[in-house]
Amino acid sequence: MSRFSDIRLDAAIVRRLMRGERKAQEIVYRAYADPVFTLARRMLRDGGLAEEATQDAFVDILTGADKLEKPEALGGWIRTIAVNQCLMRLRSPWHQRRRELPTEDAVGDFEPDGTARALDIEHALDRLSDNARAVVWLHCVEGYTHDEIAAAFGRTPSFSKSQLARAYRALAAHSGSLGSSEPNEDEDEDERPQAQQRVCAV
Amino acid sequence: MNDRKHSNASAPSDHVADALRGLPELATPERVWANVRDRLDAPARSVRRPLVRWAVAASALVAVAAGVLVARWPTSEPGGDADIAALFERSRLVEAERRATPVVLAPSGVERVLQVRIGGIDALLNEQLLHGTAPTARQALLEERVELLEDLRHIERYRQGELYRLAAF
Repeated sequence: MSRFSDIRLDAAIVRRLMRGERKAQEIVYRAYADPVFTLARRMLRDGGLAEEATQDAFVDILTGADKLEKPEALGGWIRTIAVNQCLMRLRSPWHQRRRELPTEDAVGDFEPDGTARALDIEHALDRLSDNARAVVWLHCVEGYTHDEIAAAFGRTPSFSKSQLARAYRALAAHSGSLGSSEPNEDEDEDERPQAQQRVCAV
Repeated sequence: MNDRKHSNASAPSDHVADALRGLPELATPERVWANVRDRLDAPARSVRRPLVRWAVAASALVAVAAGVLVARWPTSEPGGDADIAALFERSRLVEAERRATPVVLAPSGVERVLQVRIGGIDALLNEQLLHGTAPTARQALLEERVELLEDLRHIERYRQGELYRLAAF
């Protein structure tokens, strides 16, 4: 589960971070590095790319902290920067080219059989398309709404809903629990709690 | 699962969402902080002289050329996919390492030669893509490009290390 909204840092630390103090920068890094890296690894699938995205995200975070408008929203702000770094990589020609080349763990479709019934959600997640993987992670784990995902991808909410439905189908099939029920694409997002703060643009 | 008005508690989508949220958090490799710290320190030491700007521009040019090359690369490589994929992976890693190294020095003569040669190979590869050529020839050029890129990274690292050693005195 994403911990961005659970991490609480002393307000004094955040103020020191905004002044650019190295010790505070390291404290903030240590507090948020694992959630950022986990988010990047899940969205990008590739460990090397995830490291790169984490690194770039923290350089942006630590050098741009003085522009943070709401110190209390630090977690949401950090997550937004991390997500943007990941999306940037998903759109890059290098990444798209690498995805097109067959690799050992990237070929083949889901073929649920008796031996693959055990839930191996992580492996199944890695085998989704880039868009489906990013959308399902942002929606289910990070609490993004379809509107927020659409804005991040520069697409419509329908894109988010269809990608989510596709991801659910593939993940459920892989875990052997495919049924007739799929997420309702007309679900009312207004009733969903805004678990995460989505504020602050540097 | 985020509140879902129309779904019930046992829907497969709920199981999937619960399973995703139950995945363990991953530990960040320690080297990431070291790289971040180095990059935070770099601006204070860098001097934005024209030559440094030239180096940044040259690096950007190489990166753009590489991007164009990749974007235009055919999607099927008869007989050479695995090798080409490995070369792309090596290239990506070297590029990532170079990005992690702050540019604080103007490029030396050798570095400029290497950058020009890499640019030349990119031009050749793009030309071959337009006119078509044997995959083996393209692979040879890609191999040379990766080797030159690695040489460039070694030299940049060495000069960076020398600079830090001098700064320590």
